[in-house]
This record gives sequence, structure tokens and C-alpha cells, in this order.
Amino acid sequence: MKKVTKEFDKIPTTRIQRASKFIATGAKIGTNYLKHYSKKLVNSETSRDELHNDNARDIYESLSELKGSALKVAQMLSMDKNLLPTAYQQKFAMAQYSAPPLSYPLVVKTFQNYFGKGPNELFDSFTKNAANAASMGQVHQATLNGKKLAVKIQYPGVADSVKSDLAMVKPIALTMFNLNPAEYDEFIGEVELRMTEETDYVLELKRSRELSEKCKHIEDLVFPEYYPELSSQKILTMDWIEGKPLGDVDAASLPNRIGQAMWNFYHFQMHRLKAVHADPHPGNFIITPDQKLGIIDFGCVKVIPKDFYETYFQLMNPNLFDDMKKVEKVFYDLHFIYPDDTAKDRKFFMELFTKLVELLSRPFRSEVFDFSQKEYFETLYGFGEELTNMKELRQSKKARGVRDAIYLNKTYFGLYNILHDLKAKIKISDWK
Amino acid sequence: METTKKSRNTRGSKAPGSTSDKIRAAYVDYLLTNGKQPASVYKFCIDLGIKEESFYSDFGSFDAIEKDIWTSFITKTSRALQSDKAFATFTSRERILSFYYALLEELKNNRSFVLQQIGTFRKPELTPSYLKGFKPVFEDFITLALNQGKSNGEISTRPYIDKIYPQLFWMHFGFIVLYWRDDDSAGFEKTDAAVEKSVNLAFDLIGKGAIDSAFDFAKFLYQSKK
Repeated sequence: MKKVTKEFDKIPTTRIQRASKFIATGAKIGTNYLKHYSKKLVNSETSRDELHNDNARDIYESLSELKGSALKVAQMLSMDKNLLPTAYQQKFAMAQYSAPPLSYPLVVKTFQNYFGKGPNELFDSFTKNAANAASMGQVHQATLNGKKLAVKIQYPGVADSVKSDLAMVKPIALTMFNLNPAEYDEFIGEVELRMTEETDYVLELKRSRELSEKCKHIEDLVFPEYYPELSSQKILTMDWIEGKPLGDVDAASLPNRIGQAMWNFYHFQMHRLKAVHADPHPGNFIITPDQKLGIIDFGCVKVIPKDFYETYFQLMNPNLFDDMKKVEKVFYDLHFIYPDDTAKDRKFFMELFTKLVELLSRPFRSEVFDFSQKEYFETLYGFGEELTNMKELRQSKKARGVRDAIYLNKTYFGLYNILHDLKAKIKISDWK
Repeated sequence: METTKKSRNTRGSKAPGSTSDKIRAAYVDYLLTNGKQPASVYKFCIDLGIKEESFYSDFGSFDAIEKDIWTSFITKTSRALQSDKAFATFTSRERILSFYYALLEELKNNRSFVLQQIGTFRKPELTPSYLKGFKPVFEDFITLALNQGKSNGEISTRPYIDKIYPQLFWMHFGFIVLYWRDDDSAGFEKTDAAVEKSVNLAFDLIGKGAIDSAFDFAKFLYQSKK
């Protein structure tokens, strides 16, 4: 068998292949910059947008071939529109997390590992092909005792690959997304933690049951029931919710109460439960035939530490800016500014973050806020773009912001975007 | 499958508790405890408390026991799959995948023995002696699954080349076993991923696609030059 070993030694392992994929992308991006600067020599009009377009296409193409947690990171970065130039966003927004589906024999094997039985023995029926892709896995439809069920199965090895994929995405993220290393480490540490949690279906089951139990009183929401006896580390069984994903329906035509339900759902979680469904993505919500909002994926939950809660939500306090001393204190606590900043830096970042906070917390300063306003969102995105291209921010050696805020910001961003798509008019304090 | 059964020099399907089962178990126990074969059949039989002739009526040598154990891994797997009703509805790709998974499961239950066997192999020939009974069953299974794929168009027919597919799958399986040997992930789930991905790749290669078009184009160029 020694000879066999040798022959197989030549086969490149997937990790090396993936790594070389990144290197190839790096080279391509280099060429794009070259193209950009040579064009600029001839024609100084060439805009950075064109360069971003070229780069976004190349990154997107290589990342979509990767189909792992690396793509998820890219998607996350793209959702956080503050961090990304428009060209990147548009490309990445197209990317769906779609690894090749698990083969049916592997699905059977996963069941056998955890239950000692195949899916056909556990359920009355079980579809051989996946109905949907889910975060890091796929969903099959099953029936048991006349009930339609959704069974989520995780890809093998996903948990292990999270860390190595994230390590590989770092060099690209640093240069392409204009992040500084301190910020990146802060960012990626938190992301790694959340993504590792996402691979733990036992934890997801526990959180799903807790959160849906506590939120079920909120009007216009539908939660599936979960089945612990049919779930394990890599398998999660819940009711099948009829309807269409929010991303597949004409959002603007939905009644206003859907948006209000979503707003209430999020604020109830943040303020009462101090733990929040941190993945407001149109694919994670189902519009049922009677036009209610089904909530199906509690894979990514951010638990809000108490101290951080107090500090963070002062930002949303409508009267915050009446007292600039208080503002300064909050900014110190959130690491927007540091005591050892130079006076010039401190002034710069104070002004910058004041503007940002004022903009983001604007909905909280009215009783009813109309999320359909185009001007508001254009200002928001425009300012985000300005931030990405800001030399001072990029060259700052310190991370501006704290890790606990990353997923809350992401949640608010997702929420605002969805409400904008829904053209919802939200009663801000309705959740109380 | 019948031919391979005949070629086996034992009657492994005897009732449980038979002498041959006892010999097999005692042999594996000795091998794994001492890390080597017993000094002689004579000594082995005394320790086991059986007559030497009853050993020889079941096995010709210690090597024959090893061969028999390996063969039983694969016949058991193959029989279990054939008797599964769902299996008949599977595509060729799914058949081979479930074959690999079931076989690895069987090997997993005997991992110490398998590792001992793979570890001691020294001779630079492709098929070790203990796999002599295993390999034909393996190739039969693959051939059958591939023929089904050919008849339903899942696999493209390529004269001459497709004859060596079973041999390639055999080498591929060697790769998987070696991967599994070095796999330290929980529940060997990395091996599962390796099986999934490599079999998918294999089927993309033997299915109708770029390779056929390349052949076709090369043939065209060659013929049009004449």
C-alpha cells in the first residue's frame, strides 16, 4: 500500500486548493489596480468606482467558488453597508450561501450516527432532495403523524472549517475592505464566536425554544414548534411554516403590520430579553398565506451583556445630545474615542461619530418613523461610503467601536433595510 | 457475487459461536494485544483449547484468517445495502456513496484491527494479501453500480477507458482509507466530507461533460487533417 500512498500524496488537498484560489484573486486584484493607475495616467477621469467594480467582480467570483464560511464573512461584510463601497455590496448581495447539497446517503448516515436509524424509519415521509439551503446546511421536508416538518441538516466538517476559512479571508479583507488590522481582529474574533455557535444545533434548539416561547405573545408573529427528540448536534427538526420567504415576495405590497411586528419583535428581544436574533435577512422570514411573519432561524443570537446594554442604548436616547459631557463619556465607553487620542483626533472622531449616531438614531427621535423615505437611506449609505474612504479612520491604529456592538449594528442595519423594503411606517414605542 | 463467495476458503456464514468465529475472535485479540501473529498454529490452538485439525478445517493459515475477516467486512456491507429497499431507487452516485459510508462504518467498528493491518504492510505491491478476497467484491459492486449509471445516462460510455473505472475507484478507496487513518476529527466527519466531495468529483469526471467534448474535438481535428 506504500505505493498507493505515494500516488495519493500528489493529490492536492482542498485546503491548499482553496488557499491558491485566494492567491489567484490577490494577483487579479493587483492587476486591476495596475489597470486603474495606468488608465488614470492617460485619463484622470477614471473613477474609483470602476476599480471597485473590477475588484468586486473578481472577489465575488472567487468567493462564490469557495462556498464556505469565507463566503459568509464576505456576505456579512457586504450587509454591513457601512464597511463596503457600493460596487462590492451589489456584487455580494447576489451571493447566496449555496454549497453543493449533501448527498442523500450522507444525510442517511448523519441520521444513523445520531439516532441509530435512517430518516425513513423516524419520519412517515422524508424528501430525498433538500428543499432549501440553510446556514451551513440544508433543509429537508418530512411528515410525521400528519404534521409537515422542516429538518435541517448540517454539512459535515463545517465547524472545523470556520476557523481556517476565516484565517484565509483575513489578508483579502484587510486590503479590499479597507479595514485596519486592530479593527479586523476585533471584528473577526466576534464573528468567529458567533459562527462557531451557529454550527451547534443543540444550542440553537435551546435558544429557539426559549426565544420563541417568550416572543409568541407579539401580534402577527408565527413561530414553529421544535422537536428535541428529533434533533441533535447536526440535525434540527421543527414545524414546516407554509408561505414564501420575505425575499421572494413584493415587500412593498405587504400590510404595514408586518413591519410593525418585526420592529416589535426586535425591540422586545433587545430590551426585555437582552438576547437578539442577530440575522435579520429576508431569507430568514416567512410570509404566511394569512400574511403573518414566520420566524425560522435562531442560529445567530447575540446575548447583550448588561453593562454594554446600558451604554449602547444611550445612543438611542432621544435626548442624548442635550448633554455633550454625557456624549463624550458614552463615546469613551464604546471606544469611539480613546483617552490617549491627540486633541485633533479626538475632535475629529467626536464630530464623526456624533454625526453617525445622530443619523442612525434618527428614527428614535420621532413617535412614528417612515422607513420608506428615500432621502434618509441615501444619506445613510452615502455617509457609510464616506466612512470607508476616510483616511483618518483607516489609518487609525485603534479599533473604533467595541466587539459587542458588531452584531447589534448588523441587526439594526438589517432591520432598517428590511423596513425600508417594506416601506413601513413604524410606531417606535409600540413594543412596550 | 456468487463467484467470490466460492473463492473464499472459509464458511463464515456458520451459526454464531462456531469454531471459526472463536478462532477469528481469539486471533484478532492476540494480534491486537501482542502486535504480531502468534508464534505457531500449534501454540495458538493450545492456548485456545482446540485441536489443530479443527483450525485447519476452517483456515489454512493465519493470513487466511486475516483475509477472511476483511472479506467479511465487505460482504456484510454489500449484503446489507442490497437488502435495503430504498437502495434500489438510488442513482449510481448515491449507491457508491452509501457503499462507501457503510463500508467505512464497518471498518470503524474494527478500527484497531484495520489500523494494525494497514500499518504493518511493507511489500510494495498494490494489493496486500489480506485484501485478495476483499478487492473482487469491491470491484463487483462498483461495476454493477457503474453499469446502472451507464444504462440511465448518468455515466457516459467511453470505450476502453471505462473498463478501468473500477480500478480507479479501488485506488480512490485506498486514498479514503488512508485519509480516514489520519483523521482525528470527532466521529471522523472529515472523512465523510472527503468521501462526499471526492465521489462527487469522480462522478463529474465520468459523467457526460467536458472530457467527452474534448475527445470529440480532438478526434475531429485529427480526422479533418487527413
